[in-house]
Amino acid sequence: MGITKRMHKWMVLFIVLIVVSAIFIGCGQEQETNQAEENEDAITGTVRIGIQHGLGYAALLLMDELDLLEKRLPDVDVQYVQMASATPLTELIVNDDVDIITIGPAPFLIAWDKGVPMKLIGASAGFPIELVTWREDINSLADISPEDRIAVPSVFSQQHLQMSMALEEQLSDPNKLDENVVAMGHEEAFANMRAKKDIIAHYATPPYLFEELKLGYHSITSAEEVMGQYRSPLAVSTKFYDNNKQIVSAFIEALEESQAILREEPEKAVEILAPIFKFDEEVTLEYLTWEGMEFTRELRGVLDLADFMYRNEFISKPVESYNDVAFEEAKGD
Amino acid sequence: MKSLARKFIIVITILVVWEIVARSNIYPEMLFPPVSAIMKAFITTSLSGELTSKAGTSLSVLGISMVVGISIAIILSVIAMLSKWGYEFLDTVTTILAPLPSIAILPIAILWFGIGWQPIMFVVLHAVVWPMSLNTFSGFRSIPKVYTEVGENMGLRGIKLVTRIQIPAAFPYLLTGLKIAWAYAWRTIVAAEMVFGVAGSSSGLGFFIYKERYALNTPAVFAGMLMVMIIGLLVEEIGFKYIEKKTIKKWGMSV
Repeated sequence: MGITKRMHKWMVLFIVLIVVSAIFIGCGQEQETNQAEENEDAITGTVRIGIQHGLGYAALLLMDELDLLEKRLPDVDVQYVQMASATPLTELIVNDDVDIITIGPAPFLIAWDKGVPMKLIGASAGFPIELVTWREDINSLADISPEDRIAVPSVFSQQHLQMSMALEEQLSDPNKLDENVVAMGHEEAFANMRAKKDIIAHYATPPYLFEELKLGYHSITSAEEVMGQYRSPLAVSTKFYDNNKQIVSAFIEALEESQAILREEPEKAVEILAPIFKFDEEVTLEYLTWEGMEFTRELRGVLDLADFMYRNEFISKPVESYNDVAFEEAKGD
Repeated sequence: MKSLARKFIIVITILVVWEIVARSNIYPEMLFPPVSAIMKAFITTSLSGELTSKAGTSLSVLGISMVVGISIAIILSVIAMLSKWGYEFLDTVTTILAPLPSIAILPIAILWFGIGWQPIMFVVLHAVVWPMSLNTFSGFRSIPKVYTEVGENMGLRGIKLVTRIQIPAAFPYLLTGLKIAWAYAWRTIVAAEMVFGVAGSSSGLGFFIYKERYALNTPAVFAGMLMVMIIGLLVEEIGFKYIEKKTIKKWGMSV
């Protein structure tokens, strides 16, 4: 009897502790929401922009360096964070730790399907993404044998899904090379490709793509083949969009200004970006003006990809039109 | 009230509170899925064979690595018993390498062995060999001389002396070594698979968790974790306890 009573006391304390701590954490999140709502009156507050590594995000890096957004929003605290891939950025959106992110159409659609509250507002750039190999005997996806390994940045990444799309088109089996895929960051994959060990092909984005092509390696398939020129989308959290329309339009203006500089006077951008990418100015200019690099806000291919992903059950519902996945500011095909 | 019943109530309480908090929608479901969603993910991925085959892959790589690791450990401790140099070698190397978490040697393992099961085996070996050899060595050293002498008087020689007298006498140490080795190895293999999971047939539980994270399928991430816990508990709480009961406890030895 005595033991039971003592046990009851402990049990009650235990439950109370869990519930109270859960509520406390919940309250912390509640307060953040209130702060965001206060931003509506004047253009103050914070905007947190999540970007990834690579030449494709040059417009955002330039925007950061030239303070293009700060100029338009003097009272807003503008923060940039850099992450290695789209998934951590998506997790930050879910957790309300970032407002605007760069995300490949494939990871975006997976997130959209899972109900992550964000939509597209356009693209940060168009750039080539190609599957490159150093093996001279491999000229198409059909030449890849079961023991050959292919590096993609992560499973379900843009590159992974694009390869599945190409596989469906060319070999009628989107999962044919699933066993060949290795998840590996671009930098590591590039080092592996240069050493010609472990992996025989790398689904690369610039600058790694250009570096590999310069080594004399050749491309097997590309984004262009399956969904038109690749455009790297930008997504905004729905909550941020609803509460901060002015910041969003200032962001779009700043982005377009940055893209115009990259398009029309790339020499000016090179001075600023070369140290960031750690290339010579000459090489940086060569890369920024490489065929297929296009600094535009127009989206492309998202619906084709969505159609493929829906048919192959990567997502559970179809995307009928851009309105399903994008805000009205987005431009696209 | 029995300890087991108390534990049961604690677990049920945690699950119920979890479910209530998850269903109250304080947090987005992707961050904090309800227990029911996790169980559903666990059952569907187990029934489809995906989760179980990944667990099988992890366990088979682990099993092979443990066998190899224990063999190396026995060889090292025999050498240490036979020679002073061998002892100093084992003592020095174990002291130097013990603080190094297995996962920290992963980059070197990838560099040396490429990608696939080989580097995973290498890091698991690192997790197994040192604690196991240290315990095996201490175990054999702790055997009172009189045991061996009694055995010899009864006519036991060579391998029979080792299997009939020395191994049982050193068993508590061997079992402790085995437990530590398993604990390190199991945690290490799951962690290693997450870092450079190789997709497809050769990938294990760590890769399952990694993959489901990238699919934003949080319930399945928890399902993978649950499988890691279940296997860990089965081996540690049932497997080792059973061996203990059948050996040390039966023989009346203290651990």
